[in-house]
Amino acid sequence: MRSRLLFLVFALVLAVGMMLTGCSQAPAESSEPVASEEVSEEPSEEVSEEASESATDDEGKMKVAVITPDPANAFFATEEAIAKPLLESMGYEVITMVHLEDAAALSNHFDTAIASGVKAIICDGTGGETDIAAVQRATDAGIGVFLIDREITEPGIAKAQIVANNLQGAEAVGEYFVEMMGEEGGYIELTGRDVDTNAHVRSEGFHNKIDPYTDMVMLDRQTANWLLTEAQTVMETFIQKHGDKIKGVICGNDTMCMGAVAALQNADMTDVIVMGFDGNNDVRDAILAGTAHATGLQQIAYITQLACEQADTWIKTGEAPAEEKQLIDCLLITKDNAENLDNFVYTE
Amino acid sequence: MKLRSLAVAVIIIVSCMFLAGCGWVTVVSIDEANARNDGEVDPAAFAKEIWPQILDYAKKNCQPVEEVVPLFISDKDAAGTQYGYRLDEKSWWQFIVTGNAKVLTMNTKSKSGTLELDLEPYDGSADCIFQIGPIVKGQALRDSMPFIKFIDFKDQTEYGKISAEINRYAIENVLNPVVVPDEDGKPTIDMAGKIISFTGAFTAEPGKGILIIPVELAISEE
Repeated sequence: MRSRLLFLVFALVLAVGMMLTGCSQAPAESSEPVASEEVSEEPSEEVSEEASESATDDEGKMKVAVITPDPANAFFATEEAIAKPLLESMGYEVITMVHLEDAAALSNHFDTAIASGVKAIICDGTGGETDIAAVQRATDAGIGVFLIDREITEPGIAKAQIVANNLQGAEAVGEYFVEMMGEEGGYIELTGRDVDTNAHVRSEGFHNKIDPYTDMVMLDRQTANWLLTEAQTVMETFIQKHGDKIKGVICGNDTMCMGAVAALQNADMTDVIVMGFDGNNDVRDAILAGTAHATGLQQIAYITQLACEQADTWIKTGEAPAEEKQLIDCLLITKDNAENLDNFVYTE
Repeated sequence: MKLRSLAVAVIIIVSCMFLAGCGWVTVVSIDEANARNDGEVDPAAFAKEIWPQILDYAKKNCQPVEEVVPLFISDKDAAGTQYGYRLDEKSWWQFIVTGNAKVLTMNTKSKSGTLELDLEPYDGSADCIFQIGPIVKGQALRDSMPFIKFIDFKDQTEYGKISAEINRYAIENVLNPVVVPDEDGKPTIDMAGKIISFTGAFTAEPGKGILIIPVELAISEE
């Protein structure tokens, strides 16, 4: 009897020991870097050095991290340009980091933020599934994560996902593209990075509105990975291939639009209808000059401001926004209203 | 013997807790499993099912078009506050209007066919645009309905399809019986000069004019 009791005690101790050991292990992370030959960004080691703040804070200020994709793109640069001074004006110390579309770098930045003791993270991620684990880790550490621009497909983790209605915006651009093309003709499509959901959503939005017009013919479609120089190279190839058949070019973002404009201008193809998406000042100027014809403004300045305000409320009161997913409509920008646009802010 | 069996059972149970605790096995509640398998909405079926609710809401909440439009042209926000609906301060105003209008011109050259409407009191000048298809623009029918919300759908794409299917339902069931399209979708009824009565929705999209899509339409005077 006594040996059986001892056996039971031993079994219980063994089982509880196993359970406690298991619970202390961190879940496996999927942190594969995005494999893409077109990505020309720097490796993640250099990027993580930009997180220069230490864990101790002499001034006693609470910290917020702002993580954005790529300062070379005006759209992303605006996020940091809006968030940092706004959060500082709210009394926070701000840590800024960029991930350059590298999922491993994003993951590292989240860990840096967690280790730095931030209260909240404002983040425009990679747009891929790998963001979810990083967001979960921060949330598990008690940090409020406020996502902007790019969603994660798992609800209930981030406190907010404030995104532009890419589908509505792309449909608005698609509708206007059809109108400017006279509902007929050959066109080229340049798409964004394949791992980024927004690339697919925008292409879908374009085609929802273009495809019903059966006299609109897509001559070719290729990704230029959101990049200007790549778009220019791709467009030059298409000009060689299709020549005068190209009546229009529709691009998943403004930097690719500017690349297409450059290639067309160099080929003296000045009558081609060219459209993009984002609403940056370069395309605004091109629209006013007549070298481009429309873009869909994502109100990223407003979206970033909202995220900062919601983070501030959450930090100070514990109150999260009523709805996690918040959709902000895009504005069609054409020559009729381009002058109302500056640094992603539209003023009527 | 019973004590040994009990010990084995305890080890098994706690081992399961260990495996679940470190994520090697995911424990999903029945509700969660059902939710995950309960994937997507069929947008066409959804549009058909919700149409009676859309029509009912529009009839109960429509405002006189001859009052809304002049105020909208002079002061959008005042018109929105008095006559419109929006989800929240971040969203655009949506309007549901009803009334009569004289058709000044009918444009069927474009697949996005339109009528230029002169509202009462008729003065011969165009006050707003009315969509007659076969392709319609925008999401006014979806967005003017408070009971159709983005958060109730999976993502932007699904939400977008809902609007497309509601628009398609309007084209097939409201517009086509009146405009009688040919096999290419082009209206065969000439509506220029006629008086129409309608109920429809439009969105206050910045930089854009009034573009109405109907839930009800009839030619009231030839």
